Amino acid sequence: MAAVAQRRLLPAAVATATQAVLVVAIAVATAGAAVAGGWVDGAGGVILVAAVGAVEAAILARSPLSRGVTALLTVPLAVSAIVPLTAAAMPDDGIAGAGHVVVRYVDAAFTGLMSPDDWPFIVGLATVMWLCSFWSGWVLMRERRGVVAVAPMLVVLGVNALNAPTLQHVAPYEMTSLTAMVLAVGAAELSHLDDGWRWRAVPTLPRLRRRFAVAVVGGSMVVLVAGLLLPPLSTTDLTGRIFSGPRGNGSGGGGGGSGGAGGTVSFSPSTQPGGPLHVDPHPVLRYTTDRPVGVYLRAVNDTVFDRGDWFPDGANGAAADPAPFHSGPLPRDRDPSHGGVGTATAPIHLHISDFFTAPTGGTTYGLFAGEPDAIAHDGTIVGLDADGSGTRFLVVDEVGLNVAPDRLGSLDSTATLPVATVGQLRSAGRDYPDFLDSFTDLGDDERGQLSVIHSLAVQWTAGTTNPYDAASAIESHLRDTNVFHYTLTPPAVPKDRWPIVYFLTSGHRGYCQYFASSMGTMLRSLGIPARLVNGYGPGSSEEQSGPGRTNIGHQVSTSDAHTWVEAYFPNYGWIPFEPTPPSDEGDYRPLPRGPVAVDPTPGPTPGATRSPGPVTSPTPAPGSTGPSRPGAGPSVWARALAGGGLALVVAGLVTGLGLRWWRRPGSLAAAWRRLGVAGRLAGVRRGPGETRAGYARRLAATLDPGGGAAPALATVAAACGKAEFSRSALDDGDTAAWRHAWRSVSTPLLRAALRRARSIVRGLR
Amino acid sequence: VTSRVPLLALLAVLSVFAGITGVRLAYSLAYVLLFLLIVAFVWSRLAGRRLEVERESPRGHFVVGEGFAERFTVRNRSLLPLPYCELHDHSRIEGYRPGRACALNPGGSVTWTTRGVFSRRGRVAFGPLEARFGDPFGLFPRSVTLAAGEPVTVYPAIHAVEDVLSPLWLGSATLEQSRGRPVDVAPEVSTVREYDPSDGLSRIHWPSTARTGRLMSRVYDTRQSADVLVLLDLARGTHAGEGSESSLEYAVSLAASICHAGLRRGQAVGLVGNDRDLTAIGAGRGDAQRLRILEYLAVATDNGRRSVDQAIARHGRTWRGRGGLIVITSDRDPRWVEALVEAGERGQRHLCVFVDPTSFGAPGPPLRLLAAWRLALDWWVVRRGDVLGNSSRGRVAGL
Repeated sequence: MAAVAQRRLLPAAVATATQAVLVVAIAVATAGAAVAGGWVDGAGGVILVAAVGAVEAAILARSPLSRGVTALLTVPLAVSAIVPLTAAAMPDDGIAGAGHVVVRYVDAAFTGLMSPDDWPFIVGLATVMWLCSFWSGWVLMRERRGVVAVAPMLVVLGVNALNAPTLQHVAPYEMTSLTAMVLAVGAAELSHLDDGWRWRAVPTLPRLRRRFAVAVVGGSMVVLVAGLLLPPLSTTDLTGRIFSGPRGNGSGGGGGGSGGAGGTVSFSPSTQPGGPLHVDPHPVLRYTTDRPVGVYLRAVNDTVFDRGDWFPDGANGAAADPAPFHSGPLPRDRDPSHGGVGTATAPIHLHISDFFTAPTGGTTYGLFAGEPDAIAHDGTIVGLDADGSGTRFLVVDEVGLNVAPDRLGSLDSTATLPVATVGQLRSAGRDYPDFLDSFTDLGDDERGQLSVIHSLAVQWTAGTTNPYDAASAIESHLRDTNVFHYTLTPPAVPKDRWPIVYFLTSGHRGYCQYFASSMGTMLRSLGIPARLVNGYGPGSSEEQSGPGRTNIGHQVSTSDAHTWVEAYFPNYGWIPFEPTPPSDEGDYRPLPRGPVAVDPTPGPTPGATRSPGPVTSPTPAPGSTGPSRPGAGPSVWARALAGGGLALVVAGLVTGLGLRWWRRPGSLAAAWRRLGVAGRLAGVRRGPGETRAGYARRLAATLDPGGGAAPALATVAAACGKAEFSRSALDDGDTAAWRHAWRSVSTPLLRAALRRARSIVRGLR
Repeated sequence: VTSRVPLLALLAVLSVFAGITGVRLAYSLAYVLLFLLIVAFVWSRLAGRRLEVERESPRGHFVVGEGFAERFTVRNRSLLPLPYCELHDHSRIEGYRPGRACALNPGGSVTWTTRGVFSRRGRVAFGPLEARFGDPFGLFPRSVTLAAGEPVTVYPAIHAVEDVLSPLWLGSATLEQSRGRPVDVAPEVSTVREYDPSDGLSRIHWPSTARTGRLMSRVYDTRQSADVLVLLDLARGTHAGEGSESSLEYAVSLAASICHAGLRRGQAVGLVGNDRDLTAIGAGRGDAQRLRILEYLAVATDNGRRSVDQAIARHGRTWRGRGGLIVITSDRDPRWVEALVEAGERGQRHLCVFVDPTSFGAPGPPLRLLAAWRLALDWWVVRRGDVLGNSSRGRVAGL
C-alpha cells in the first residue's frame, strides 16, 4: 500500500515563491518586449513598473485582504509605482501646481498611448503594464486561474508583435514571457487542484507535485518548440488591401524615380517612398544606343539620406555650386587612381531622337546610359569636385542642360558601363577613397529605426566576406518574390515609422523606391558607399529600319521612371544593382557583370515588346553565392515540412473522426446501415427476403470465418428484429447490448470489409 | 467561463491578424496557443482512455459499528504521464473518504487501502467512484464514473437488552404456565443432527437422510417463554433528530436489540411497523426470523401514514392472548397509551419503550406519564445519549 501523504508534499512557500517568480518573469519579459518594440525612447522604467506591479500583487494575493480592499489599494499602489519613475522626465509646460500635475498624469494614463509625445506615451505604457502585471499576479496567486491571469499579457504580446515599430529584439522577450505564461498556467492549475483537494480533504499520494511539475514542463516545452519551429503560413502583409489610410509620416504621394506628384508614376529627382501610385503612361522619349539592348537612363543621383528618404544634393563633402561646362566631355577627373572613375569600363553612346514631353520635369537633366562622360549640350554639373575648380569632378550627381525642357529636340551623350567581373568585384576590398565618406552617412538614428535596418543588413549578409557578396545578398533578399512583392499600392505605414523600416520588417510590399531606398540604406549601414540613381528603365523596344541597317529603338514612357542603386568598389567605381523584383509593372532583372554587361548575346525582341533589363545576367544567381537568408521567410523544405505535417494532421483528424463516426452510430438503424455498407464493400448483399439474422450470419461467415464476429453481429441483428417487430421497445439493456456488440465488431468488420474489397478489386484487374 | 474560452478568443483574434500582417512573431504566438490547446486536448483524451481503476469492496452484511476495508488500485496504461488523478467516492458512508489524489508515470500504478466503519444502517453501495483527471494546464478536465458495486446491508446496532427484558418475559411465561393454559404453538425445527438410537422414528428428517446417506434427526426449538410482538412506530413526523442521533435510529436499534434478544432466548418474535407499507412480520423463531427482521430494520424509515395508536388497535386485538406487546415509539399523543392499555387483558402486561423526542430537539412538552399508565404498563423511557445496553438498567422506568 502506498503511504498516504496527508500533508502537502512541498511547503506552500515553495509553491508561492515559484508562482511569484513566474509572475514577475511574465511582467518583466512582457514589458521588455514592449520596450524593445521601439514604441518610444527612454521607456526602460516601464519594466521596473511592471515588476513592481507583479510583486505588489503577489504580496496582496497571499495576504488576508479581501478583493474589495485590494481593489481600493490599486490606485495608490499604481501611483506609487509609476510616478517616481516618470516624474523626473515630465516635460515642463510652464504651468505650475500640483493639481495640474495630477491632471497631466491622469490624462497621460488614459490617453498616453495615443499621444505622439514621449512622456505621455511612457506614462500610458507604464499604466497598462502595471495593471496587466497586477492582474496577472492577483488572479494567478489568489484566484488560481492561469489562463484568465495571463490573458491581458497575451493581448499585450499580440499587439506588440503586430504593431511594434521594430521586431528586431522583441522575439526573445516575447518567447520568454510566453514560456513563463505557459508554466504559470500549469502552476496555477496545480494550486487550484491542491486547494480543492484540501477543501475536500482528499489526501495526496507521494510524488504528485513533482510528477505534475514534470508534466507541466514537458508539455510546455513541446508546445513552445512546436510553436516556434512551425513556419508562418504566409509572410504577405495584407493590411494595405484591407485597411486603407495615409502613411503615418504624412508623405502622401510618390516621389523619386518612379514617383510623382499626385501619386502618378513619373520621374522625380528625390526618392521618398510613400503612398499608393497609379499608372498613367505617356510617351517621354525614344532612344537608341550602340548596344543591342535597352539601357537604364540615368538622370539624377540621390546621395543624401534623411530619415528614410533620399535626396539629390550638391553639398556632398566638397561639392560646389553647379559648375558650368561646354558641350563635349564632362570636366571629370578621369584618373582611376583618384577613384572618380573605374578601370574596367566600356563606353556606351546614347542617342535620344525624340522627346515627346519633358523627361525630367521642370529641370532639364542630361540623360546617360551609365556613368556620365560626355554630352552634346552646354550646361551645369553638380557633383563632387576634387579641388573646387569645377574641372575635376570625382562624382557627377546631375548634369543640367542649358535648354528649356520643351525645346529639347534630341540628345547625344556618352557614358561608361562597368565591365568588372564578379571575381574582380569580390576582390575589390574596402579601401575606399576619403571623398566617399559622405556616401556612408545616414544621419542620426531616429527611435532605433536605423539600428533595425542595420541589424537586418547584418542578418542578411551573415557569412559574406566582401562588400560585393554583401551587396548581392541584400539584392537577392529584396528580389525574393516569396518575401517581397512589387506593388504600386503599398500598405499603410504605422505612425512614427519610416516606410522603408516598415517595408523591410512587416509590409514587404512596395515599388522601386522602397526596394532601392532599402538597399541603399542597408549598404550604407554596413559601411559600403552607396547612392540611388533616378531615371528611366529601358522602356519598350521597337525595330527601326534605317538606310542600310536595322536598328533597335526604345521608347520610354512616364511609367518607366525607375530608381536603382549603385555601390562603390575601389578601383572599379560605381557598380549598379537592381533590387526591384520583376512584376507586371516591370521586368527588372539583375544587372550583368563582366564584358557581357555591354555586349550581351541575346538579341532584342523585335516589335513593340517590353524591354527586359539591360542584359541577362551571366553571373551566378546572387542567392547562390550569398549566405543563407534567415528572416526572409520559410525555406522550401520548411514549407514542405509544414505542409506535410499539416496534411498528416488533417489526415489523422479525418481518419480519427471517421473511425469515431463508424464506431459510434447514433441509432440502431444507423448501425445496421453501417453493417450494410461493410457488406456491400465486401460484396455480400442482403438478399430479398433474407432475415437480418441470416444476413448477419452470412456476413460474419464471409468476413470472419473464424466466427469471432458472429455473436456480435447476431446481437445487432436481434436488436434490429426486436425493434422492428416486438411490441415493447428496446430497453436500456438491449441498447447497451447492441452498442457493446457493435463497438466490439465495428472496427474488425470495417477492416475485413476493406481487405475483402481490395481483394475483389485485385481480382477484377 | 472555462479556461478555454479566453484562450480560444485570443487564438482566433491573433490568427486573423497574423494572417493579415504576415508577422512571424504573431504566427509563433498563435501557434503556441494552438498547440497548447491541441496538446492539452490530446493529453486529456489519451490519458483517460488508458486509465484503469480497480476497487475491491467488502461484501455481505454488517452491523452498525462494524469496520471494513477497501483496496484501490489505479493504473496508467498510457504512454503519457498522468499529471493528476483524483478518485472521488460517492459512497454515502458517514466519515468515510477513500478518495486520493495521485500522479502516475507512463505504465505506473498505485495501490492503497482504506478502512472505515459503518455508522448508519441501510443498504450501502460502495461507489460510484469518480476519477477526475486532465491535462496539466487545466484546459480539458475530464471525469470517468465507475459504477457502484453490489450493496451491502448494514443492520442496526444490536445492544444487550436481555437483562432489561427478563422480568417482562419471565413474568408473562410464568403467568401463562401457572394458569395451565395450553401452548398452541407448534414446535419448530431449528436444525438437524446425526441420528441417535434413542430418537424416535418420527424424529428422523427423511429429506436430509436421503441427501446425506445417513440417518439425520430433527432438532426442535425449545419454548422458554411467551411470544413477543414488537410494534415499531414509523409514522411520519413522529421522530426527531438527524442522522444517527435521531429518535428513529434509537427506536430501530432498540427494536433490533429486543428482537435479537427474544430470538436468542428461543421466543417467537414478530415485528410490526406502521410504515407506508404497514409491514408486518409474523412471529417466528430462529436465525431465519432474525435475518428477516434485521433485513427489514436495516432499511426501515419513518414514512408511515397511520399513527401508532391505529397500529396498536389493529394488531393488539389479534395478538391478544399470545404474549407480550412491546411498543417502541416517540409519539407524545396519549391515545396510543390508551389503545395499548385497552389491548391488554388480564394477566398480560405490555412494555412501552418511549424514545423521548424532546431530548432529540423536538419542540413542545415531553410526554407526562400518568400514574395509571405506570400501573397498567411497563415503561422504558430512552433519551438521547442513553446507553442502550445492560448498563442502562437504572434508567428503565417502571421495571
